[in-house]
Amino acid sequence: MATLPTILMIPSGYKSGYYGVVYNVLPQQNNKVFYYQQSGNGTRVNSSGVIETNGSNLPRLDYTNSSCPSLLLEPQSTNKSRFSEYFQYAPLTGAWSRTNVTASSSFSTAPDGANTSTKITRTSTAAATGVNSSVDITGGYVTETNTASVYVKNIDSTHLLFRMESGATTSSYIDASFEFATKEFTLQSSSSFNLLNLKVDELGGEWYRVSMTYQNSGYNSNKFWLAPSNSADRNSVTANTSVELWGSQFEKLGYASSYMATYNNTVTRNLEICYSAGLGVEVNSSKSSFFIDVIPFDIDYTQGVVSITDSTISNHINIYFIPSLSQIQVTSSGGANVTIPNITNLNQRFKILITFENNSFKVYMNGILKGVDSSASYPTGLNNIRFADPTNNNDYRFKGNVYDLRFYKDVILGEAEAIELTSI
Amino acid sequence: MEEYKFKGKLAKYKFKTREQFQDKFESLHTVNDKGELIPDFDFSIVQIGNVILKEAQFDEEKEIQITEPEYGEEYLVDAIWYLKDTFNEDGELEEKDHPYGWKTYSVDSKITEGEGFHSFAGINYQENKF
Repeated sequence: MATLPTILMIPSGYKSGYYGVVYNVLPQQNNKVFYYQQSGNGTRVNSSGVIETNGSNLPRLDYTNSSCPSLLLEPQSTNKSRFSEYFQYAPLTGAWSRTNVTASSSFSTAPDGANTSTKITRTSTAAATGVNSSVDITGGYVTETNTASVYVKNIDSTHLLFRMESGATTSSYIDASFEFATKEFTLQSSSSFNLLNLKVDELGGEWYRVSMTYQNSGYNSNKFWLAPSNSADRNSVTANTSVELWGSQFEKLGYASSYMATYNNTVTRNLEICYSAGLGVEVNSSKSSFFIDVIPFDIDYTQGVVSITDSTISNHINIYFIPSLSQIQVTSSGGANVTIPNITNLNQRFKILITFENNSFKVYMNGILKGVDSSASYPTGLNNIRFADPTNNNDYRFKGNVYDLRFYKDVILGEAEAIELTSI
Repeated sequence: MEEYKFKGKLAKYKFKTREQFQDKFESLHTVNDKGELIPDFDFSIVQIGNVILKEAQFDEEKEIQITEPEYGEEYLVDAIWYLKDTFNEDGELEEKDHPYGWKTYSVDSKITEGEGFHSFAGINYQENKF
C-alpha cells in the first residue's frame, strides 16, 4: 500500500482573490494551500480544448496536449506580433499583407471558440506567396532566441508553409512545412538564421499550433510568411488551396508560451509566482521525502528552481533545472549535491523524488536512482515550499507545468516505492 | 478574503538610446557577491524598442508591403512599478511617484487615451498610470 504524503498538491481546486489559491488534496484545510500571484490576464487551454482568458490571480490549470490538468507557471513574455487574429486588415506597420493569397475573416470557429478564424487561399504558384507581417524586434530581441507561432487548421491543403525571414533581406530565413496528415513540422531550408526547434501542439477541433524557435542574425525586424500548399516545397506548388489561420505570436522565449491576443499594440503577460502558505508545521521535519512531477520549459534562462526553505537562504533543499548546462541539479544547504547531466531536452516529463535524512541523500528520477550523497546533514527549520529559489529571485522561478507535488514529513520512502512513484 | 485589486503603477518612458535605458535599469538593482543584479523592489520592465521614424510602405492596392519601417535611436520602455506605501510626517499616505531618475523620461502625460504601442494584458494603462 502506498505511503500517504503529508502534503499532496495535484492541481484541481483553485480560486482567485487577493491571493490566488491552489488547494491541496492533503491537507484539506483552506489555510494550508499554495498561493498563486499574477497581475493581469493570461490564457489557458481548458478541458474542452478551448483557449480562454483567466484574470489576475486566477491559477491557470492547463490541458494542452493532455486530458489531465497541470498548473501552468510561465515567465513574463510579450507578443510582438500585432493584429494576431486579423490576417485581413488595412495595412499598418505590423499588420498583415497578402501576397498572392486572398483572406476571408470571420470564417469559422477559432481555438478560442469564437467565429474569428481567417480563411487563406493561395492564388498563385509563386514561391513568395502568403500572408506576411513584419515584427519589430528592436526591444532587445535581435540577438536573442525567439519563437514564432500560429494556429492552423486545414481546409483542402496538405501543408502549411511557415517561413521566418529578415525584414531587411530575403536571403536570411528559415523555411519549414507542417504536414497535416502526419502532423510533422519539418525544416525545408535555411540561410543565416539558426533554427533551434520546431514544435506542434494539437488542440481540439482539428486545430494545431505550430511554433518555430530560432536565433535571428542581427536584423531589426523579422517577417512571418504563412501560406497554404499542396507540397512541402514552396517552389513546387499548385494554386487554389486553403487553410484557416488564427493567433500569431512572436516572443523572446525558447518556446511558444500561452497565447496573448494583440491588436494594434504588443501585449505582455506578467510573470506567475507560486509558493506554499500555512504549511510550516507540515514541512518542518527531521527527515523527509519530496516528490515533484513537472515539465519544465527548456527555455533560454539560467535556471528554474523548486525549493523547500526556512524562508531564508540559510536552510534549503533545491531542485535546479538548468537549460544552459543541460542538467538537473539537486542540492541542500547541508552539503548535498547530486547532478544529473547530459539532458539534451529539458522540456519533457520529470518525476523526481528526494529522500533525505542525515548522511543519506538520494535522488530518483523517472524510475531510476540517479545519485546518492552520504555525507549531508538535513536542513533545520524548513517551513515552506516555493516554485522559486530561496532568494525569491524572479529570474530563477520555476517555469513549466506542474502535475503533482508531494511531501512526506519524517518519512523515507523505500526504494521499491520510490521507483514506482517516479516511473513514467 | 479580500478581493484582488491591482496595486502597481504603469508608466511609459522614452530614452535617447538603449544604452541610456540600460543605465537607468541597472540603477534599480544592487549587485550581489556573484555579480548578479538583484532588484531593489518589485517591478516589470518591457523593452518595446526603437521608435519608428518612417512607416512601412505598401503598394497601391494596400495589400503588399514594399519597404520596411525605418527605426531611430530613441528607445521605448513600459514598466509596472510595485511601490510600497510611504507616509509623510503627519502619517498621511504619500502619492506614489516614478523611481528616482526615471520621471525625466516619462511620456505618460502625452498619452491621454488608449494603451500606446504596448499594453499589459488585462491591466488598463489610463486607470493605473501615475
